[in-house]
Parts: sequence; structure tokens; C-alpha cells
Amino acid sequence: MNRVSTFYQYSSAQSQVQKSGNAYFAAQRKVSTGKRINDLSDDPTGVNNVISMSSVKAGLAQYSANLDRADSRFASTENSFSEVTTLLNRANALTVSGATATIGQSERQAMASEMTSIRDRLVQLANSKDGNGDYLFAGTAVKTMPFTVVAGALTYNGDLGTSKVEAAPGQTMDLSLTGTQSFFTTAFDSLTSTITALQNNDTSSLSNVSLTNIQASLQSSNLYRGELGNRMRTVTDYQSDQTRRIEELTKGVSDVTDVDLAQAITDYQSAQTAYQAALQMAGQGNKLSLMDFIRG
Amino acid sequence: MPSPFQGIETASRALRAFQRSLDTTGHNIANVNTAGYSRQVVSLAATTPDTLWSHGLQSIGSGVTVSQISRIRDAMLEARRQDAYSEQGRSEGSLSNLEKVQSTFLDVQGRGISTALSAFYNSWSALGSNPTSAANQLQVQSAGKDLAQKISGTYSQLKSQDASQTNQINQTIADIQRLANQIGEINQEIKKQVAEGGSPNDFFDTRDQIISDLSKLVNVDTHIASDGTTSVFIGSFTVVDHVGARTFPTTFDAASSTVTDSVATWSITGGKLKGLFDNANQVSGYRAQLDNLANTLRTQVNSIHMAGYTSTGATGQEFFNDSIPQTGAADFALSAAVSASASNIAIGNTSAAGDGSTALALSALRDVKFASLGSLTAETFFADLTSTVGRDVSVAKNDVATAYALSEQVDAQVQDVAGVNLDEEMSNMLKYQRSYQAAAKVLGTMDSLMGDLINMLR
Repeated sequence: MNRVSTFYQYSSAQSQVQKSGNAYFAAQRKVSTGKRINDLSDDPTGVNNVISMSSVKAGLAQYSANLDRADSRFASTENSFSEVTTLLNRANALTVSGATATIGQSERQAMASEMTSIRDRLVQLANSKDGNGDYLFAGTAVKTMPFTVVAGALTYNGDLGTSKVEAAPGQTMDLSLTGTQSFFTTAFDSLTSTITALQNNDTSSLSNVSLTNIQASLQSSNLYRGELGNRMRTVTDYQSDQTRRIEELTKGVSDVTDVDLAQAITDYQSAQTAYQAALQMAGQGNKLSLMDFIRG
Repeated sequence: MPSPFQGIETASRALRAFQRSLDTTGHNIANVNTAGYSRQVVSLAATTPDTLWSHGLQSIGSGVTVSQISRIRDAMLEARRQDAYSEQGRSEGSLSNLEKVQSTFLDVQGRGISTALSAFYNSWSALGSNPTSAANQLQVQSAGKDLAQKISGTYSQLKSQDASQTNQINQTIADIQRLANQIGEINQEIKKQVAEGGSPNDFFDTRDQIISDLSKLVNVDTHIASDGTTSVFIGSFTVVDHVGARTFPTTFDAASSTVTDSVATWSITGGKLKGLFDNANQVSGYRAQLDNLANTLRTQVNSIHMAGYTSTGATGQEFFNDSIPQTGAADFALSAAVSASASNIAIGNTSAAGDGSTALALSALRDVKFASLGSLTAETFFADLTSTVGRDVSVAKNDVATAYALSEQVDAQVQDVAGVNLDEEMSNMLKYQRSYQAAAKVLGTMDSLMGDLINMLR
């Protein structure tokens, strides 16, 4: 038969209290923090996943913010081209009526002067800035005024580079449109020659050269607007994909780090019961002893 | 022919023997809570019988005597207990420091290195995507500073554990020496008493208890000699022999888990000392990883950064401080120029204000797997380091739990054999009390017989 030492009876009750007390505390911590992982050692692999997911998530949020900038930049550019289109339509209308034989000299002078202000406005639009004060059509030389009128011709002072935004890992999106410098100089030149033709009553030049040139510019302007529309759609596509992935990752992180509350509370209750039982045992001590049956 | 007083002698021997037995029971009860105490048992034996002539030679009993007071102890269990305690000491020693380390790595509410790394890459992404924003330049500066500080701060927290670890190791070595000295002293006491034919049970217990304590500190083997002394070995180092304690080496090398004096080197394989050595190695391993991370970031970020142009057209600037040889995580920081002004941050491959290509190239480092980091990205490398720390802690925790369970089991077995059970002692007490009463009765009867004999002569 096994002997049980009295000392061991007490010390084992004590260690039982300690063990179930620790388990109780751990269960309590899970419920009160709502976190499955309170220490790295709780789930080292989970920690690794959480770090990776959080990094990807942080990156996605940044790309999305970058795309916000691209979007506002495209919107500014679109605004400029929308007005350019309006101006060119008006120039087209003026040229058409200027080319009609029934129009007189004085009316052509008035048209020439309206055409001059259209040209001035075009130069202003070519020097449009975004919210940052960066020129929209200067390539990457965004702090240099890109277009200046020198000796009656539009000179380009920008460069041929393009500003970019990071849209996704390893993917960038161009902010600038290609060929805008030649678009603006060509349109400027067409308007200038149209003005001269109006002033000179040169109806043949108006109806042949000017009309063709202005309509070509108008078409380019519309193509640019189409391109901008496409880019803005791409931004939306990127961003909705990013939002979806951020949501997935948030859920993924939560799946790893957060407790299943129902489970945690059940665990907590069973740990509590075990702890109570251990305490009760230790509290009662060893109720039975031969000493109680010996008369001193 | 025995003396007519033989009966009185027999009864008084019995009284003495039962008195000793009761004393021992009392001693057991008194030590019911004494750690390491082994219950003692009185062995009674009949004394040599007297002879008388009555129809031939007859033997007549002459009573009882205490033949031996021995302690109940199982030497094999004792050896198992030493091993169990040694493992318990090792795992505890290792865990206590690791737990401090893991809190250093835990990224609470995004204030850790991994968050700083993401923020660092993000700041480049933002700057590259909007190169003329002064706010974005400042953001890169502060994210770079934060990253460098987090890495060097974590490093210095790990480094500061070195001093306390060395302290703990020295303290443990001092404790080993102190316990060895005690064993040496008790040995001498035991040797004296054994030479006189004694069995100093309580000294045996004390010595076993000290050896148990010593097992928690270091791996221990013991050998009991015929003169009663115990020799204690730590690996191949004899720390106590029959003459006394020797000086345990105080010079240690945690990396090889050895202690050394001017003569030789000894391996430490168990106990708290081993746990502390292991822990020191693990922590220095983590530090080496941080050094690697810091140096890789320096090399990779600087090489791209130095090729780029700042907003003022300068080029060839370092982003992080660097030198040859590289100095690791301890002094990881921004370069003096970038630290002084965010305008020294390179943004593009040209000096054009809208060129963010350098910043974008730096942002793209996020997904670059560096050979120096074992073909991992910086983020993955750090995530792996973090989970390694977690795994080490979790292994250490399991080791502690296992070692405790084992120690408890062995303790229970030792206690089953050697521990005092009060019920048993109470019943022994009753037995001896009753026997004492009976022997006293015999003495009384003998006395009254004597009285009758003496009164007859009146």
C-alpha cells in the first residue's frame, strides 16, 4: 500500500491551487483583453502571419493614398482639358464664321481679338497647377513654368520626364500625359496663324489651313480627355481592389489575434470552476486525522 | 542462574527502548514540515538471552534494546531527483530572461520595428508619388529616424540584459561555491560520527537537501564513500571530495557553455547555470540578427539614395549613417546630413522637382529579397525573428512545465518513501505509549513481588 506523507498532501494541494490559479488567470486575460495572443509565445506562427499581413495592409493603405493624389491630379488635368476643349470649340466656330464670305472686315477684327484672348487663356491653361502648386504639363520640371511666349512663339521650358505614383507593389502609374508640350505649342501656332488670317481677311487660309489645324487640336484634346477618363477608372479599379484586400487582411489579422469570445468565456468558466474546486480542497485541508479520534 | 532482579532490569530496558521510540516519533512529528527530512525508524531487537539450568540448559529472554535508528531513504530516487531538479533549474533559468526579451519584441499597438518598417517604406512611396511635398520629405525623415531608433532601441534593451545576465551567472557561481562549502563541512562532521560508529541521520538529510539545492544550480553527480562522505562532481570537475570543497572556477564562457580556471575547461550541461548560458546565447543571437538587419538597410538604402538627387540638386548623400566596417544596430541612425535637414533626402534620379524615381525605388525595396538576410525581405526577416523569439519562449515554457511535472513526480515518490505521515506517527505513538504503560506495569508487579519477599523477613 502507498504511504502518503502529510507534508506532501499539503504541498500538492498548494501546487494544485497554483496551477489552476494560473490557468484561471490566463483564461481571464483572454476574455478581458479580447486577444488570443498576449505574448509572442502564445502563438509564434500566428505572430509571424500577423506581422506579414499587417505589413501588406499598411502598404496597401499607402498605395491607396498615392492613388488619391493621382486621382486629384487627373481631375485637375481633366478640368484644364475640358476648358481647352471649350476654347477650341469656340475657336472652331469663330474660324468657320470668319471663313464665310458674308462677314465684313470689322467683324473679322473683332473675331481676331476674341481669338487672341482665347490664345492667352490657352497659355494660362497650359501653365495650370495642381493642388500642390506643381505645373501639370511640365514633365518632371514641375516647379518651372512650362510655357512662355517668346517672340510670338510658345516655348516649352519643361522636360520630357513624367511624374509617377506607386499604385501597387512594383507598379507605377504615370501622372503626366505624353505629347502635351507639342499639343499646346501646335494649338498656339494654329491660333496665331488664324488670328493673322482673320486680321488679313485671308478667307482661303481660314477655311483650309486654320480650320484643319484647329479641328486637329480639338480632336487631340478629346483624346486626352478619353485617356484621363481611362486612367481615373484604373485608379478606381486599383482602389476598390485595395479596399477589398485591406478588409480581408483586417479580418485575417483579427482571426489570428482576437479570441472567439464564446469559446473564451466557456474556457474562463471551466477554469474558474477548477480553481474554485482546488481552493475548496486546500481550504478544507485534511479534515480527517487520527488525532481527532485519540483522547489525550 | 539469573538474578532475582532480572525482571526489573528487563522492564526497565523496555521502558528505555519505548522512551527512545517515542522520542523518535516525536522527532518525526516535529519535522513533518521540514524540507528534505526523512522519517526515522527505530529498530528494536531482543537482547541476548540469559541462560539457566532447568531440566537442561534453557534460554530466558532479557528484554529489548534499540538496535538502530535509521532514516528511510531511496538512493536511486535521490539520483533521479538530482537530475529532475537540474532540468528544472535549467529551464527556469532560461525562461525568466527570455520572457523579458519577448516583451521587447511584442509590437503592442503598432509601436514596434515591423510597424516602423512599413511606415518607412510607405513614407518613400508617398514621397515618390508626390515628390514636391515638403511634408512628405519630413515624413521620410521622421519615419527613417523612427525605424533606426526602434532597431537601435530594441538592440540596447537586449544589450542591457547582458549586465544583469552576467550578474545572475556570477551570483549562481557564488551560490554553487557556497553550497559546495556547506557539503564539505557536513562531510567532515559525518565522517567523525561514522568513524565512531554513529548514523547521523539528520546530517544525512541536510546534506541531501543541500545537494538537491545544488542540482537546481548545476548538473551534479554524487558518490558516497565508505567513510560516510559524499563526493560531488560537476561534469568532470570534482567540487567536493572527502577532504573538503574545492574552488569552483569563476571564469565562464556562455557561448561554449563552459567554466574555466588556469588549468582546464569544464562543460556545464544542466541547472540554472546552463539555463543562463543558453539564454545569453539566444539573446546574443537575436542581437546579431538586428545587426544584420541594420547593416542591410544601411547598404541597400544608401546605395539607392546616394545615386539620387535632393530637391536642391545635391547628390551622393547617405541616408543612414554607415562606416567600414559596419557597426550594426547599436548606433543605427540617420546620416548627419539627413538628420540635420529633410532637404538632404534624395528624391529623383534627376534634379527635376517632379522626379520621384529614387523615392519610388526605395519604396520598392519593400519587396526585395536581400541575400544578406537569407533571401528574405526586411519585413519577413523581422517577422521571422519575432516568431523565433516567441517560439523560443514557448519551448522554454514547455520545458519548465515538463521539468516541474517531473520534479513533482519524483518529489512525490521520495515523499511516499521518506515523508512523515502524521496518522502513522500517531498510531506509532499510541503503540509505544501502550507498550510503555505495560512495561511500567511489569516493573510495578516486579516491585510488589520484591516487596512481598522483603516483608516476609519481618
